[in-house]
Amino acid sequence: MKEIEDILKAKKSHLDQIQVPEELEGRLRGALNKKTKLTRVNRLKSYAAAVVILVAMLLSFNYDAIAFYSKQLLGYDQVMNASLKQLSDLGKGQSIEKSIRFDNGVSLTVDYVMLDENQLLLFYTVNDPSGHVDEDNISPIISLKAFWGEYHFQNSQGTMNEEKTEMKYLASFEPPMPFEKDLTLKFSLKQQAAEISFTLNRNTAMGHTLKKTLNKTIEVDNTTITVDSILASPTKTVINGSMQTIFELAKAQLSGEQFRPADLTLKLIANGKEVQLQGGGTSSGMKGRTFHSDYDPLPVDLENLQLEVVSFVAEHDVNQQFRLNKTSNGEKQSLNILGQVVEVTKIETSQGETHITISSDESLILSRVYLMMDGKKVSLEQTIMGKSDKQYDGTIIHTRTLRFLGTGDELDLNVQRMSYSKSNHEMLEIPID
Amino acid sequence: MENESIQMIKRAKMGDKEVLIELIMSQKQDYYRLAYVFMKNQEDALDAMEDMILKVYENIQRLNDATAFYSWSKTILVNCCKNNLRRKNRVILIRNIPEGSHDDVFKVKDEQIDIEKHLIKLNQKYQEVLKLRYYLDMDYETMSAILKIPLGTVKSRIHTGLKKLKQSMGVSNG
Repeated sequence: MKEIEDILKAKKSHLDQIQVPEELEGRLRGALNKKTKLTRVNRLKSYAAAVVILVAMLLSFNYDAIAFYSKQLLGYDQVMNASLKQLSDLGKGQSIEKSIRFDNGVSLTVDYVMLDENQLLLFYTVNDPSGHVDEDNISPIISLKAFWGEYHFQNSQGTMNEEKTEMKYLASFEPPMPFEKDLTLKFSLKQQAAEISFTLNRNTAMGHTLKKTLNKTIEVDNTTITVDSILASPTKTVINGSMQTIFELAKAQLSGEQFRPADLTLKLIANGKEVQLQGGGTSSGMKGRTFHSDYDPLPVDLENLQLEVVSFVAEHDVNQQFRLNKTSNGEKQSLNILGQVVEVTKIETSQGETHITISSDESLILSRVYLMMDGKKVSLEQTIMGKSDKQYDGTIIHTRTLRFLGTGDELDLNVQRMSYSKSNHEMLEIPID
Repeated sequence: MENESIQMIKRAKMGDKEVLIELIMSQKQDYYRLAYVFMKNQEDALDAMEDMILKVYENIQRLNDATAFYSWSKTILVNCCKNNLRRKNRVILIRNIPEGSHDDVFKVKDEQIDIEKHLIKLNQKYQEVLKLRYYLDMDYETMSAILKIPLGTVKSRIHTGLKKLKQSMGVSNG
């Protein structure tokens, strides 16, 4: 016990060094003067407005609830996007309504299933009459077992009601093979396993709207990006591709990994309008480094479709040191790091700390950086977020301050890794016939 | 409490903003550190203090016992901090990836804030008593007044909190 107290006390001495910022008094005065202008009359007015809004919300909310009730999809409107709502309004999908109750009163109900070529969407409800649905240990990661194998859970989202008695989940799974009909949902509550079986009605499945092998390549930042295929279905649109083949990946590994692709931004444009991105990811495996981007479903009246490679983010090894000119008064120092510009706008020392303010393109991040103080290597303590300025040409310059503990006469910025984005804006035409 | 302070509190009750600011600034170190212990950074600590002074200004008429001003306003500050923390938990700013966000930089940080890491795992009610007791050196009576919990509860929470912290860190008995 003594030891813990000592550690806590040691931490206290660190806290004791914290100085009250000088701006405190100004901030307090500003807060008082800004907010207290609300007179009593105004306040009454705002209460009245609040009551009106509340009543309106209650009315409109109930209205929605009635509309959804007939389709057994009550309460899911928070987890569904607009296109899913449309599908459920059209009665697409299959109602299941099977549930299981555990000994402690917690129950899980499978309400509804929607199936197409991209995914199987499972709508389910966890109910806990005691009002602790957020603490129940039903893992949201569940699995779907079928005769020929298990279908993996991909993602899910849920919303809880105010009373914490009910949680509505919408989970996405890989679509089961065409011949699979009987599925079993497996889940557990505190090691107590349970399952719900149901039979898929394939007549309600929605198939796909567009399926194409593309095999198109694009060069960005010395990397070849291959867009392999597109699969559009009524619930979502998926673009699949690869960034490094397994051979390239192995080569990079052997040479000490100079470069790691981190993120790729693709824009899908249907009938001239951007399709909302849902998510995406990259993975490394036997096929090399692959990626997928998920978007909302394509419009029904599709006339043309394009894919734009907007930017490509990769992390690069730098391992370089840059001497900082401490003396230059108000003069900016420009560092050229692998062809990218980082401007040092201010170097300040106060209360035994060194603060270095830098600005660069918003996508640039010094992902591993140290400060050498008279030859001593000091790791970064904190980055204080600054501001972002939009330039006339549309680029955004991000200014922030790096905080290091300690000071020194000779300062060198030791940049080991850096990630930045390369813009490309190359357009791919996707044939739709 | 000195007569002068009581006079000032009376003037603040009449709506004198400058006096109110003066009252708080006279114990600025205490207020600021209290907010900082909860919020862990300057910007959020200042925000919480802004919220506090507004609440104090709006409700000071209801304060009957002028001598209780400091503990009363600190209770408000603690509540403002908790509210802001709750709100902050809901917002996830994906844009703000800090410089040096690579795993190994995280590891370096981890070692520095070892105790913090274990402390935040505790229930909020244990965290706050331990922070006030050890980081701010508060006595039991003050804590009881600020947190609005009985003296015995303060003591038992500190005791249980330390025990839980010990379990969490796996420190041997000593």
